[in-house]
Amino acid sequence: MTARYAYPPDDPATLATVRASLDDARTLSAGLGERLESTRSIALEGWTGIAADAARAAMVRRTTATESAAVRLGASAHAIETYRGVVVQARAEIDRLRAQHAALTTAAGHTDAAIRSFVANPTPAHAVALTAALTGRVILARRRETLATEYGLVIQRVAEAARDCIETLWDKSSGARSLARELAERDEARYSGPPGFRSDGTSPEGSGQQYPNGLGSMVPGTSTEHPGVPPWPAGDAGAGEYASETAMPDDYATHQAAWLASNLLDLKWPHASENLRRFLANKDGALEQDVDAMLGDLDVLSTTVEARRMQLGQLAVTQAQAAGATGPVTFPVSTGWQGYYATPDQSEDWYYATGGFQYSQQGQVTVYPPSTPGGAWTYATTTVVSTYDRYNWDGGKQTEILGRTVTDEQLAELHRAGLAREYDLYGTSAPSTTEG
Amino acid sequence: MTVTPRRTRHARRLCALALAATLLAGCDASADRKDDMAQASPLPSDAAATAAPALLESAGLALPPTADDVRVEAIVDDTFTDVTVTRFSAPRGEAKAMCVDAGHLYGEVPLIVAHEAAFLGITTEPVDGGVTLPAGTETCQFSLDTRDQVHVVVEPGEPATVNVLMYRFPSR
Repeated sequence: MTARYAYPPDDPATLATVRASLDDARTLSAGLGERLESTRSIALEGWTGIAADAARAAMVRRTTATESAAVRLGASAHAIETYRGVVVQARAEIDRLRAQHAALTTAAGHTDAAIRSFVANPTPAHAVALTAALTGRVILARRRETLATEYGLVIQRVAEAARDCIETLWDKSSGARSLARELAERDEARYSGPPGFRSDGTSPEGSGQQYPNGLGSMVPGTSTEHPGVPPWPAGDAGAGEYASETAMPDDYATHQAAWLASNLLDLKWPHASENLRRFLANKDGALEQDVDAMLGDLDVLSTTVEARRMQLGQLAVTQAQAAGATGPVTFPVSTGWQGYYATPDQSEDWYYATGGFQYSQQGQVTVYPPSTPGGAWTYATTTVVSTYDRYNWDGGKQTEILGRTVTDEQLAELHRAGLAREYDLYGTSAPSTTEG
Repeated sequence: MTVTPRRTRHARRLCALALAATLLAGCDASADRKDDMAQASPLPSDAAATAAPALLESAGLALPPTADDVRVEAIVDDTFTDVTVTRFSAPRGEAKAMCVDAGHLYGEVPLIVAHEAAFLGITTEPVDGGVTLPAGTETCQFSLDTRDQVHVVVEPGEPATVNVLMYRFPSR
C-alpha cells in the first residue's frame, strides 16, 4: 500500500462498467416505450367504448413511465460518467504528484551525498556545494507542503464529484439506489482525514486530533473528553505494489528460509519473530504491538515519555494560572507523532521488530489550584502512549541465512510477488499518571 | 579546518534475518555488530552563517535573533543519513521560545539515545543505549515526517549553547 498520494478508491474501469449497464438499461427502456406506443396505436385502433378508453389510458401511463425511466437511467449514466472522468483526471494528477514527490526524495538524498563529499574532502568547493544542498532543504520542505496541499485539493474534488453523483442517483434513478446507498455509506470513511494521511475506513487507525504543544482547550472540572489517537502519519512508499510481479522459485526459497528462522527465534526475540511471521503470513491489515513491553524495554523512550508528561503538567499549570482558574481545570492532551529509533544497544528484539517508529501521547492533565492561600498548584497528567510503524523492507542490507544470502531487496520482492505482505504496526499502552 | 572523526557505539542496522543467521550459526548476535565510524566536519564560518538559518527554517524553527557563534557540522554515519548539527549561543529564553513558538513541548529530559549523543559529541558512556544528560539540559524534539528527525538540546548555562541535531532514519 502506498500511503502517500493514494488514488481515490473508485476504479475507473468499474465505473465504466456501471455506466455501460445503465446505458443498456436506458436503451432497453426507450425501446420498450416505443414498442408500447406502437402496440397501443395498432391494438386499440378502431376499438371504442369504456373498456377501450381504460385500456388506452393504462397503456399511455405505462408508456410514459417507461420513457421516464429511460430518461432517469440516462441521467444516472451521465452522472456516473462525469464522476468517472473526475476520477481519471485525479489519477493523472496524483501520478504527477507522485513523480514530483519521488524527485523531491531524490533531491533530499543529494544532501547526504554532499555531506559525504565534504567530510571526505573538506575543500571550499565542497563546502559551497554542501551549503547549497543545506539551504536547498528549505525549498524542498516548502515544496513537500505544497504537494500535500495539492493532493488534498485533488481528493476534495473527487469527494465533491462523488457527492454530486450520489445526489443524481438518488434523485434520478430508483433503480440505482443500492449503488447510491453503498457510495453514500462509504463516502465518509473514504474522504475523511487531512491531506497526507491515510484513512481507508477499515483499519484501527485513529481519527483524533493533536494540539500544538500537546495541550487542548481548558475545561472546568477533573475530566474531559479523550482526544483519541491522531491519524497515522504517512509512511514510506514501501517495496512497491503488492502482488504486482510473478513469484519465482527463488522467492519461495527465501520465504521458506525466513519462515523457519522466524520460528526458531521465537523465544529469543518474540516481537521480532511475530512481526516477521506476520509479514510472511501474507495478510493485509494491521498487527497490534505490546507498547507496555516496548516502554519497559526501551529506557530512553519511557524516560522521555515520563519527562514530557511532567512538562505537559507544568505547561497546564502555567495556562491555568494565566486563565485565573479558581477550581480544578482539565486540558485534553494529544501530542504530535514523534520518531524514535530502537537501536540494538537498547533492545535487539525491538530493533528487529520495528526499528524506527512513531509515538505520541493522549490523555488529560488536571490542574488543582492551591487549597490554602499561598499554597502550591498541583497537576496530574494521565496519558497513554500510542505507536505506529509500517512493516516493510526497502533497505539495502543483506545477511546469510541457512547458507543463503538474503537481502532486504529479496524480502521486499516477496511483497511484490504476493508471497508476503507489508502491514501496519500499531498499539497503545496502559495509562500512566505523573503528578507534580 | 579540523576534521574530527568520532566513534559512535550504535551498530549497523541489520535486517531482521541477521538474527536468524547468527542464531542458526551458533554465535551471539552482537558479534555481527560493529562500531561505525562517524566522521564530522564543520562548515566554514561564512558558509555556516548561510546554511544555519536555512537548515532551521526547513525544520520550522527560527534562529534566535541574538544567536552568536553559529556553527554547522556535517556528519557522515553508516546508519543514519543527512546528519547535521547546528550549534549557536543564545539566551535560554530565546532558545526555549524557538521550540515553543514552533508548537513543541520543551523542558528537561534526563536521557538521550546513544547515537544522538554521539552526533552531539557527548562522550559519556551509554548504558542500555541511553546517555545521561547533564542536569539542567532542556530539549525539544519532533519529526518532520516518519524519517526526518529534529532534536534541539539546550545545554545548562546562560547564555546557553544550543545544539540542533537533524538526521534521517533508515527506511526501517
